[in-house]
Amino acid sequence: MASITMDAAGSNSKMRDHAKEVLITGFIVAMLAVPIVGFHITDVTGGVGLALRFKEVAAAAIVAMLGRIGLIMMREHIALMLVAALSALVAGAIALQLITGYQFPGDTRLPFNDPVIDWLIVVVSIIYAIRAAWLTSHKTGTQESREKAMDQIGAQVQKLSLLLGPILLICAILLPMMPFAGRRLVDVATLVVTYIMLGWGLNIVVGLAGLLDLGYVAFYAVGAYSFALLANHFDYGFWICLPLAGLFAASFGVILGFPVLRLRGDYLAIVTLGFGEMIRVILLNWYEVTKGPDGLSSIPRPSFLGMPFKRFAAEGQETFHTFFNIDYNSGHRVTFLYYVILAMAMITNFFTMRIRKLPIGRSWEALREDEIACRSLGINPTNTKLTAFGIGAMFGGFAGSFFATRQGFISPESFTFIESAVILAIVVLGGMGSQVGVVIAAILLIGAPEFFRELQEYRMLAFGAGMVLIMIWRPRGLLAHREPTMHLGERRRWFGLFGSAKPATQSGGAPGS
Amino acid sequence: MAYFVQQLINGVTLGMIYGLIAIGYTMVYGIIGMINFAHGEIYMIGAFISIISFLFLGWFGVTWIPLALMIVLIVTMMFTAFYGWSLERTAYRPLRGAPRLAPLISAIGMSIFLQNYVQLLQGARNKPLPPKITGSIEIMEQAGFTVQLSYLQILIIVLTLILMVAFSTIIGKTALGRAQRACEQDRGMAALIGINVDRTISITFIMGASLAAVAGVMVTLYWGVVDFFIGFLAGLKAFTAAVLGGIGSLPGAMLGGLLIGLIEAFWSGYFSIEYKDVAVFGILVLVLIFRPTGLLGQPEIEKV
Amino acid sequence: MSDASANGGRADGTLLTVDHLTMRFGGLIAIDDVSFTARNKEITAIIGPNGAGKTTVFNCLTGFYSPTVGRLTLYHGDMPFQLEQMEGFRIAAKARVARTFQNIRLFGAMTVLENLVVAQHNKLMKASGYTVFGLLGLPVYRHAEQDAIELAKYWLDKTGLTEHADLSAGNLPYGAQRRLEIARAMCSEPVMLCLDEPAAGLNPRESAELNDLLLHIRDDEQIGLLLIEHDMNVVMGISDHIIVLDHGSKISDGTPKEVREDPAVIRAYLGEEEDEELPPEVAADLVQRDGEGAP
Repeated sequence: MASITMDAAGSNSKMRDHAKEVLITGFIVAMLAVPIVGFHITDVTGGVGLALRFKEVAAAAIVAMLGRIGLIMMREHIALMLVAALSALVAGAIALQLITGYQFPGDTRLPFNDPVIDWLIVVVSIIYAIRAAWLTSHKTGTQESREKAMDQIGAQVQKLSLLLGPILLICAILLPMMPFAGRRLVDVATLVVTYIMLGWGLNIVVGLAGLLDLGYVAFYAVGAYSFALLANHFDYGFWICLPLAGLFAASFGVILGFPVLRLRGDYLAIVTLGFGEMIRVILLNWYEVTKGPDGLSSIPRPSFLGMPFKRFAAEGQETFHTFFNIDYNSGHRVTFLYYVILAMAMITNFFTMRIRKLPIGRSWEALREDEIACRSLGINPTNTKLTAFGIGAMFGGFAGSFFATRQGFISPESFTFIESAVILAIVVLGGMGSQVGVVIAAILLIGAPEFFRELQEYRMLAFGAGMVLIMIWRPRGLLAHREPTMHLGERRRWFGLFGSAKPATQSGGAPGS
Repeated sequence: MAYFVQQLINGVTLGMIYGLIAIGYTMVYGIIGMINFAHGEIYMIGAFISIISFLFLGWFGVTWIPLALMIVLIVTMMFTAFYGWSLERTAYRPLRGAPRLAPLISAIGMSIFLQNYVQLLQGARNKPLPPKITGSIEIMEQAGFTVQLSYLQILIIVLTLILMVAFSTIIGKTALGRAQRACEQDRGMAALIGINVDRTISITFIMGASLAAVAGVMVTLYWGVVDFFIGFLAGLKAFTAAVLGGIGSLPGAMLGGLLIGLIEAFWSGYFSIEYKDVAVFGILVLVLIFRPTGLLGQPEIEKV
Repeated sequence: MSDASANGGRADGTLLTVDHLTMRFGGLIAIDDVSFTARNKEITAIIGPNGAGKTTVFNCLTGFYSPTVGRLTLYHGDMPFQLEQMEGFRIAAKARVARTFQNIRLFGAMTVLENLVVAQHNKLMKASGYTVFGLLGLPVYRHAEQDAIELAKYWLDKTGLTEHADLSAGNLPYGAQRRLEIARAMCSEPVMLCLDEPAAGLNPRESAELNDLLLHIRDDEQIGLLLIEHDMNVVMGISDHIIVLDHGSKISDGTPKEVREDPAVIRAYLGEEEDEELPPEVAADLVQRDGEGAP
């Protein structure tokens, strides 16, 4: 539209600019691709050789340039229908070949010769087509107005979470009973809920108290190892070891936190990261206790009121299936584990929601906002930070215990930095401090990739790229909306459906208020 | 004594490499106040490009070491700089002015992406490179233990010192350096007085990436083997070095790098090689507790 | 409202004595041997040109800096408090000195009401049984929280912020943020309130409202106020006692009238007479201000 009103000279120089932009994109992509894509270090007997892959470099540059052209056309509102049609055509053509295995005449498949890359191009093309088609009927808002719109959605979801929370919970409870829920789905769901719990635990530290912790996995590891050691050495059951492991992780958090919590944000981040690595190195090398890289095995499984999930009971013991007089099914244990972690996660959630509305929770948030002001109001910053750190560590420890009992085997490999990064990403992507955001981010980051296990090698690539893209799209997280912990005035509830609640001095602290 | 001197030499060499990477962290932190988590990956990519360049030169029979080394250094710095620039352009620039954690998460995402990108395209196996620079000087001998200073170690130390002097000159004396320091102090004000802030930041990333590339070349030569995962630990230690020296300070980064290298060498030499990383982080924690702004950082007075 | 003032100050009314306070930063002497006293139920103003060390005095009093030399004694309750030996948050919690900041420091993402409730943290922590009772939802905590909200409502009313109570503090207009900071400090039930340039950036109407608020705090809450201010209308209008600092030293101390006539003060503010002649319009302005400022 803008281009129509432009005079010829202006449109000419604009065209030149666009051409330059496209060429520069192609050049940069080519320069990036030449060394890493263009040459392949091959393993040959007695050393390494070099193979050339210049076709791929050219393809990458061309794809990038085409993508850029599409972007420019969408930005400038030029021939949007053409963009939509072409993108749809590309998507359709490649998808057709991928699905039917049919080859168009000539070498139309991309030179990567790899279905995943081809699928990626299909997906991107579809996104282009939809966006271009959408733009023909809508004007794009500015970045800011889009931000605002998303924030409003965030606020709505937050309000809805009064309803959405219970609905999600009911879905989660019913999930294993669904006819389509196989063992695999329940397994994935268990994993997702574990990360939701970890996310909620870390949310206390990062989201509420504003302490950037890059070594959260340390507490996860401490929980898992103390659980395994307690269970193996003292022969305690799951339900005794669990709280002990949580307490152990919490005291560990306090001991670690004490010297370092005075540090400013980024220093704290690097020190916690260092602690995470230290723990891993110690687990790896303290062979007498941790069995080093071999890990600890034969960790007891949880029992239901003392009844194990085993086919055959030990002497004088009753098993779950004999007690309920049902056939033995190894799926029972999977389902039971799922409910255990679901309950643990709900406790974490309930605890967090509640503590947010208590003085300690408010002081965490105040500390995140302004530490100096906190000190001027008589709040002890060290103690306040320590409680946040300790409680966050405790939930990490609980989740670690669950991890140990679920796997039956733990080794330092499970507690690398990448775990900390993933948990932190869940918290930040979800929208700091948002409980529902954590759920959504965990499903996106943990659940979705689990279903692409076959594409193992591309999983983490997409994971990293996804983190970057979501952050650029929503720098404040998906659901960045803070619900106040108390209200003075009228508070509209149920979206005004039932009118407003009676104006009163309401504190959110009391249940049911 | 002889053993001590040998560890000293090894430690200094290692420290020089960490220092080079640390400069990239410290410059980026100084100018945009973020931990460029993907910087370790940039260094890893530099190491890969250097292997590829060596192999490529081998095809053309360029085997005269000084020439080959020169070409490899230039090529690696150039291509790695492209990665540094693109990293800033795609993952960090859109997040200027976003909440503090957003660029950090973006950086972690980039780090994961780049690691897997290289793994996917070059394979997960170690890539060995036959030694290119051999030979050493025997410095002293004591009780049957010979202290050796290899030519490679000399090269690493000398090259690092040259680069260090060159970069200090750039930052201290040129208009570019002044622009960088101005952006560090106050980006808004720098823009008002006509400094192209975006370009200055881009150049900072390019400089950081080139230094990481040099470190990559050196590591390839020194250890003779690289894999896609070397960036993580090296990056972590280099960042530790930057913090130890006082983040934002160029000499601090170098000093921190040296200290980390020495701690690592002596700890491995005298105590246990397994716990060398624990020692490094332990000392970092101690330094930060007693001197929270690092060794050469400006002690800051709390503004109320 | 608050019962804190009941035992604030010594029998003779002295609330705070500052003896030989000196603060050095490296080679820089920010405060050089300053002594003064402040009395309960009075507004004591500290004035002086920029860089005179006024905020540094506040930072020493509220524990953000520990003074190089000097004794800072606050009288309330049975035992005097030696402020120079206490950590910042303890000064606020135990000695009950509250303060505001030159650059407003609110909890921006939290609502106005939450800001005021956070200010009552220590009281509420005790009532919530250090979180245990609170988690269990016991009535003892619920009542304490109700009381806290009542106190917050009182100060919301006093500062005219009641209608903004559920907005986030960061979204308030500037003048309202200044008032909220004072309300928040008052919610911590102090015996001495230190205000660092509360009138900065306010328009004349807001500034007049501020005067009323501060007089209310002095007369009805009966606590001592310590005030740093550049706005001479505020200072001369409401202060009972003025201390003038220049280059870290005290150059004058007395009632507004005494201070206004002190040649040392005039020199500090206007420079040596030999150095420069005042432009006529500035001189006229000063005369006019004097007229307004007179009680």
